[in-house]
Amino acid sequence: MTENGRATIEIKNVAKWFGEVVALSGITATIQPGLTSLLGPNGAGKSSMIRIICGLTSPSQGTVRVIGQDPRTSVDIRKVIGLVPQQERLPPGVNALEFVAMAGALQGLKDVRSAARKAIETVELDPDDRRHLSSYSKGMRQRVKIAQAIVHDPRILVLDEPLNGLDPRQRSRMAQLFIRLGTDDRCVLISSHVLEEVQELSSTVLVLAEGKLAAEGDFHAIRQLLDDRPHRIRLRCGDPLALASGLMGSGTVSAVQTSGDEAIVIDTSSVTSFRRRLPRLTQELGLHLLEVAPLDDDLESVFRYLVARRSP
Amino acid sequence: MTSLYRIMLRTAVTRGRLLAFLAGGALLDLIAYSIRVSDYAARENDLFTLFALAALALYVPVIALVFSTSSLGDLAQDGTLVYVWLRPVARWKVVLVALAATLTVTLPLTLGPLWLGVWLAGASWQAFWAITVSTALANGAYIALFTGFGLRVRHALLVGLAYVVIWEAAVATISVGKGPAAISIRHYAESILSHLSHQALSVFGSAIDQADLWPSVSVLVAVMLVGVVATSILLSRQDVA
Repeated sequence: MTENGRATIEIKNVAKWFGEVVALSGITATIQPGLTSLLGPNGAGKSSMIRIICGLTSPSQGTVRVIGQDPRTSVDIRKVIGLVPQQERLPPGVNALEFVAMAGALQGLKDVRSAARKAIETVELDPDDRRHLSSYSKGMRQRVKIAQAIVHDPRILVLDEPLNGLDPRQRSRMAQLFIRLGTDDRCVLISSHVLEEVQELSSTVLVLAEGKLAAEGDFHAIRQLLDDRPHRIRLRCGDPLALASGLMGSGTVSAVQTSGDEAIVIDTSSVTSFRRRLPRLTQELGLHLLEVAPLDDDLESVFRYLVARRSP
Repeated sequence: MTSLYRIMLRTAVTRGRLLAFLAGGALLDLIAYSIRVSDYAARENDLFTLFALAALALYVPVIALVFSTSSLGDLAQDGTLVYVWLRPVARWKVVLVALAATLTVTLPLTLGPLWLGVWLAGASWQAFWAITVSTALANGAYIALFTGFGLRVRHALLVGLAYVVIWEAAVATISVGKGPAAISIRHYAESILSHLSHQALSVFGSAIDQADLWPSVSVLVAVMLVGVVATSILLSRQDVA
């Protein structure tokens, strides 16, 4: 059953709460074979979602099916799933080969040693390095975690912030590896809070924010959505009221409010037109701009916007 | 499973723990040696009181507590349990491996100083045999009990220490084998020690009531089995970080 089913993850109305704290709320999504990114700021519920998908915890509400089975109870699913957890801690007193070989042995592999060596080489580490994992750098430990997750060639690979701690070169090499792994009917789910990482993976994206599914689609659609959102910008000049009046007349802003003696804050839904119009307008009015500062360009506010947009 | 056993063993053995318990064992041996040099007529009986009170009531359970609460409990706390939990391995096998790794450490740590104590006190081979069997069974029962305890209870070491000191040591000693003592592991280990050595145990001048030999063995084996089953269930229901 597990061997033949498509490597899909079906999430239906999943919620998870810890006492009063709601980590996830009403998530419904289907993750198809290929590469999917779970994008969201820290605390958005990505790790909770991943733990539920891997069966490490039960949802408080709703169901998750991995290749048609409940990951919390199915031993079959544990044969075909590989997980790179977020936590950095690895067992003390062992080297990479011993650790990855243990993972292979527990997966029931026959030639454990050679599978472990291959997995370690895949993440560009030396299987003959006898140093204990505790002496490894953060990036090396991260790669060992990836090696233990791929040692049994899993059909479902779940990676929680796998690029954390890697230098730019390793980051790029690992991203290429994930893209490669995302082929052959394998389902690869990668969580990240960095938009640029997801861009590099060019994958299908699920955006999680405040425990809710804020958006989903391919990366370009999500990017477009982010660019088209209303922007709030602070402008500072010698005569802010004249600038406010000119901007309202230009039709590129939807709201203007004063902010202190020399500044105004504008809202615009067309940031490209606004940027094009602003220099001409200040020239026409004879104003000298002292500051142009976007107020909501951080990822947190972008995600907040996406959540608000989806809310009824 | 051998590789998991090796990793669990390495995780359990730390220099601090070994030194602390070897010091405790040395103290027991010092007392055993002082019994010998005292040339006291009831030497073997004194030795057994010492072992019953100090070893079976405190030394063995504390060692078992420290190593068994950490065997799966530490993995759950530090997040490394995920590397074992998310594998297609029966939970009872993981629990048995954890118990085997813990026993590998606790048996030498408890039996070593106790054998040395028996030898230093000049006791008989019968005493040697009685101490070996009772200590090994007590070890198994305590470890089976505390492994699941470490997995589920926050601050398991402190809570377990309170249990050992208050119940296994104080209450079971004061009740001299009667009433509450019947629900302590120590009572059955003591009974086995007493039966196999043909020595009556007493404390503060009062004879300690003993259970029969085979029921005592059965109770300790039952505690082990129940411990393995309960810990396996706890492990399968565990929320893994």
